[in-house]
Amino acid sequence: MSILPVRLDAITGAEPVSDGEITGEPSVWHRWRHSPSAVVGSVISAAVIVVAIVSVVWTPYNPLAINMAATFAGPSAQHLLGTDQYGRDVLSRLMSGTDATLYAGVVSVLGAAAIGIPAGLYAAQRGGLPGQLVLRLADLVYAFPALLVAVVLATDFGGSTLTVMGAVALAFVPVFARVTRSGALGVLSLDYVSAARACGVSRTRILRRHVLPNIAPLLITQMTLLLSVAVLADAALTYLGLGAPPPGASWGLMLEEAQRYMGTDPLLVVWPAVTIALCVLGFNLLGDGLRDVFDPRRRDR
Amino acid sequence: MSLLDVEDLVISSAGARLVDGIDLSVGAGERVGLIGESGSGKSLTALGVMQLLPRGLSSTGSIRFEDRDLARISERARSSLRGRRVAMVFQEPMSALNPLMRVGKQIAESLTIHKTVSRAEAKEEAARLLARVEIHDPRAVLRAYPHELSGGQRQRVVLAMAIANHPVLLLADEPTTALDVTVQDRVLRLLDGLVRAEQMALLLISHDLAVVSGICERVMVMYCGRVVERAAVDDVLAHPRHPYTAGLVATSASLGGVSSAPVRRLQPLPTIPGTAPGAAAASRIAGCPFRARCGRATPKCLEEPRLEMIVAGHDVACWHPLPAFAVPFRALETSGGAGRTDVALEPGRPEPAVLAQAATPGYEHASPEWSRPGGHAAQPVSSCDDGATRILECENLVKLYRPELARQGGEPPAGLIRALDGVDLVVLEGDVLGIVGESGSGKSTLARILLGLDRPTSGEVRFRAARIDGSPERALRAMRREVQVVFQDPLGSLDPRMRVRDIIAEPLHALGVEGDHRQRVAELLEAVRLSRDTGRRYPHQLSGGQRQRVAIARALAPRPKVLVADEAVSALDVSVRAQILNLFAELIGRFALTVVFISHDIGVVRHLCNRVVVLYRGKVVEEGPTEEVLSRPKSPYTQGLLAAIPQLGKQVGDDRAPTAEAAPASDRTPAGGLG
Repeated sequence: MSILPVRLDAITGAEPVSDGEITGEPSVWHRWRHSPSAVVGSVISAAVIVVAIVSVVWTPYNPLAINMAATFAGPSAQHLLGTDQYGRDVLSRLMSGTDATLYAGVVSVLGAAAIGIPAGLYAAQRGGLPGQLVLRLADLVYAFPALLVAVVLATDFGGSTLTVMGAVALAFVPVFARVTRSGALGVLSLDYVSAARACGVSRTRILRRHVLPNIAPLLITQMTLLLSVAVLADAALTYLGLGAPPPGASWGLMLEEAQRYMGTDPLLVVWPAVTIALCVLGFNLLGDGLRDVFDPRRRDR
Repeated sequence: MSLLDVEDLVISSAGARLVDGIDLSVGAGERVGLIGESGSGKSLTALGVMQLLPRGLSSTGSIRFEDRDLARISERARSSLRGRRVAMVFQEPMSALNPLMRVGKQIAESLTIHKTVSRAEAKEEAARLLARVEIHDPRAVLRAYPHELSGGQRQRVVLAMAIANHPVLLLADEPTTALDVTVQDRVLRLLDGLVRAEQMALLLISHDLAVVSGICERVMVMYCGRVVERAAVDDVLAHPRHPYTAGLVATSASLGGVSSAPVRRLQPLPTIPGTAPGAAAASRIAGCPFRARCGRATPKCLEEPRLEMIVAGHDVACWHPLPAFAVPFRALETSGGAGRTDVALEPGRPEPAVLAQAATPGYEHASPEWSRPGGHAAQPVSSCDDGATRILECENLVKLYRPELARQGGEPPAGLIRALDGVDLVVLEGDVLGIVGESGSGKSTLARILLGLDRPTSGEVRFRAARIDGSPERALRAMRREVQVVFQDPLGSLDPRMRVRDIIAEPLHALGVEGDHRQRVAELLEAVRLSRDTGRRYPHQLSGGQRQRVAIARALAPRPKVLVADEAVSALDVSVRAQILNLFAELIGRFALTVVFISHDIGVVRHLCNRVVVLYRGKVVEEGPTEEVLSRPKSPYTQGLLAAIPQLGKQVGDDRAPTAEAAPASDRTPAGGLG
């Protein structure tokens, strides 16, 4: 007969405490709600995306329709944000520009990710000379100004959304490569990767099964932050005439056209400027928020 | 009137009471130990006393220190007490020191901050303090940066800073846990000497009963943020009254390292079933928090027991305390041939027959390989292969690291670090080989090379007579199927984004094992005593012990012949450690495993292994049958290592043989007990 062990659940009638009672950190959802950047960022970003989608099927007016009878109209019930020098509805043009800007941003970020992430994984996994080679190549691209690339591309192919996307994507590739590599190196040094190797899991499978899912939060955060940079870059390059040509509705173009009338009608500059700022702020906050949510230690500092 | 009088200290975070109303008093010059497993709230208690709680935690209750309530006086007044009247030593000396400041300046700062000495005198005083903590070359250490010192030296520096202003109370939170066992022994001796010489009061916080019993007079045992037992150290060791304490004492005693009596290898260890609920979960439990793991629980235990005196000087918070005469570790022993120990089972699970077999005497020789003639003779390993097959061996293994790749500290930065320096090793089929060594001995490097995860700089590794060092991954597949691994940190070795069932099935997919994988996963969960629905969970939803069971299940998945376990139980709490060791012992017999068990813990190796290899600075200094090496060590290093292990009831620095009463491990009778 022994005095200790053997649990007597029947007697105590109590719920078992051991199994599953030990829970990890608060859920992702909980941290989301408690991160102001994540909440505000996701609201703004969601609004931008909704506007972009709506603008494809509906805008108050045709963004390209010229109405010389109603140029430089101030905000009114007919034209909420007024009209520009050709009598085009500013709100409609802004909405339609959202679609173009977002499309360019998403494509360039995804394009850069498609090249940069595999390159970073390769550099992390291989190490040695091949890994170094990839890294140095990334440095080389990084050192080459994106603006110059855009100018060169525009000279050869003419200014277009495609030119902007190409230049921006090229500038982002090394960013993805570096972030992926450092994240992957961290994961590759962990015991579960060693355990997987000892189980005979192949290198590519380790990257796919263990490394990628574990650095996904890092990469998603990076994508969101880069999306805000892409929006800014798109506006800037279009403003310089390297992007979509007139009369297309794009924020950079609107800014460029409006600056000529800044003295007489400053609101025309304000609208696209505020829109760009709000959009960039939204994605930036969302990126910061995601970082908080995925890596709670950062926030406590 | 005590020096420190804490009453009803409650520390809470977001509604959860992590420390739930504890009373604590330390008299002038008294040495009190605070024992608890991870999550018991013992460290928080110390931080609460100092009013140094991290953000998000708040405390209530009174903390009277020298007639002032630390919780009520201003932060400014508290600051003037901290370091001057009360000092604190933390577990990790590296993070307690500023890496950018020379040691001398840091010590001087702790002196001048309270203006006890002038700036000019501070430097002299710092040197004196370093000499006081037995640093041999104080002048050189004064000029050093923390990273240039060894772990033991760093902790000595921290101690020097703590005693700089002659505090009357020292709070030490796991001060030696991060140190190697030989260094731990020396630092504990120093701490003991300092406290006595300075007549300081000491509150020593530790998970290790043996460490506390070596220094303290009184001990308090914490469980789930509550004090469950409080008494003199000898009383607690000899007559623990709370079932939790009794289990802790029994577990610590049975793994307590060295004793002259023969240890019955692979015998089930006494354990406390289950795991402690997390701190937050515990605060939601009404009544006795231990009830779910307790064999003596009754409906009465749904009411919370209060800490009450049952005999003079012995307080227990339990409705059904053990009788004073019960000797718990005996009670837990196997009782006779037909009896069995209450091995930790998942609650309510049927016990498979194999476990009963594991407990019967003579089981140790059930496997013919272990009883092979001549195998236990003291001869060089390389020549003792009569009969048994060499399954894994290495010859003249050398591994060099570039210092910048190696961890900071330790070796001088010049040249290459020799992690392994000519190691020969033979693992015979059926062996349970222990590899013992302190940090820097190269034992983990050796494990990685044996597993084919790292390549040696020179030397040969053979698996079943085939070279595996430097082979391409494809050529290693046959070996991968037969050699599996369990790592130290159970959380780190499980992919946080995979479910348990996918983790266990991974080697099956990777190695192309045929058959029904789902069926196999269910079998494996059963084998490591996890419930079927654990398969749906993610690692962070499991306790430390459960995670290690998952890691073991994964290792067993491809039906390996050899298991390499690298410190597989070191990261676990004492009570859980015994459960996992019992599981290892059972699985070794059930699946006829050959095991390479790497550990710094001699008690664990002694329990599990038939042969042992002692590594020191990348060299094998001693090897042979476990009993022989551990009871009659030949190398001075092994002798020192064995002497340094803290033992229950043995005073620090007290080198006489432990008495039978105070050191239960030494008088375990195979068929004894109360049964």
